Amino acid sequence: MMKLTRWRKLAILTSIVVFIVGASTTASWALWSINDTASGSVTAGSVNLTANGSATTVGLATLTTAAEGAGSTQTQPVTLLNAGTLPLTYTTVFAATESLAAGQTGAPVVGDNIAYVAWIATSTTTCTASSTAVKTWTGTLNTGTTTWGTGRALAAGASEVLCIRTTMAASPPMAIIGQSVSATLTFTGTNS
Amino acid sequence: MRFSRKVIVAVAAGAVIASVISFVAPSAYAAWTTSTAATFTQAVPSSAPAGIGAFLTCTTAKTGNTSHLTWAAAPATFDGMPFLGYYIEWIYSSGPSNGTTILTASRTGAYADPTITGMTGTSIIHVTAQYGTATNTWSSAASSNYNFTVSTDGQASPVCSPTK
Repeated sequence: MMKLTRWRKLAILTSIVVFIVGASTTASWALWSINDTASGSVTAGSVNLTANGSATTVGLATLTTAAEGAGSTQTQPVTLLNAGTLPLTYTTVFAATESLAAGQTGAPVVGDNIAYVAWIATSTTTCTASSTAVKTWTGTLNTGTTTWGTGRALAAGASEVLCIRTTMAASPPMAIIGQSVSATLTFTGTNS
Repeated sequence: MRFSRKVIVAVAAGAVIASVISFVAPSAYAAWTTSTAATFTQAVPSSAPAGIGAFLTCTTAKTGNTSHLTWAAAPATFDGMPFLGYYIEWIYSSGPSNGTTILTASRTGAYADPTITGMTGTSIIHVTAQYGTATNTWSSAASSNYNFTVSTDGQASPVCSPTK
């Protein structure tokens, strides 16, 4: 039987390590850079979705009100930008949470009295209170979660404008006094 | 060159591990995700505006079948919102037309000038103070009501009831 010298053992061990690393690394990149692999040049891509320029959380100042009045309307665009180098599809989930005024009991009514409409606008300048564009998503700011859209494609570097408008009822009940509703739009992009 | 059984087993084990990793890794990295969020909060005033000020005067003019009502001015601001004006509703309060609106008006001055020619019953002036902007208003929770009585034939001078 052949006796393994120190150099032979090292050569075998090195071969195994190289094989493992090579197999795993190539496989993990193959999904999204398979064409590049053919040319022998593999470039890692990136995925990055921003809302109004933020990759984390951005506040929508125009839609935020401290003393929302009866019949009032607020409209604000959210620009979604695929700031990565890979194409992606994204999903929008809308969640609202109502709060009672201090000392109040029972169910809040503020959400029932604020309606929203949302649509994809052609640009931020067309996202206005008077826009007559077809409203894709409608509802009220009741506590709960709603999915506004799934699988919307955004090419690398591309963007689109989501326009949101809220309107308080013309004659809300006085029980609404002191209540508030917080809403979060979560945009999740996926490259696969 | 011959390899021992240990070397062959070690190489085979390495190959198996590599295969496992090569199949597992893609599924772990198959979906690259990114997430961002946008938030907003909408709140309404912490309390409704109080009713407007007290009734002050009511004068009538028989010849013109007119009257003039005044009340104490509402506060200049409410919850940070500026005073916008008064919403005035003139409504029948009795008779077959009870509840029917005769006239509505908006003004910033604390007065109303109803003209009663043709009136056929008792009416009431209902005044609400409004705050905010033209597109974002809050009205006083308790409006002030001023009784305003006319004669049954509608032709006589109005009679004001200086009560709220």
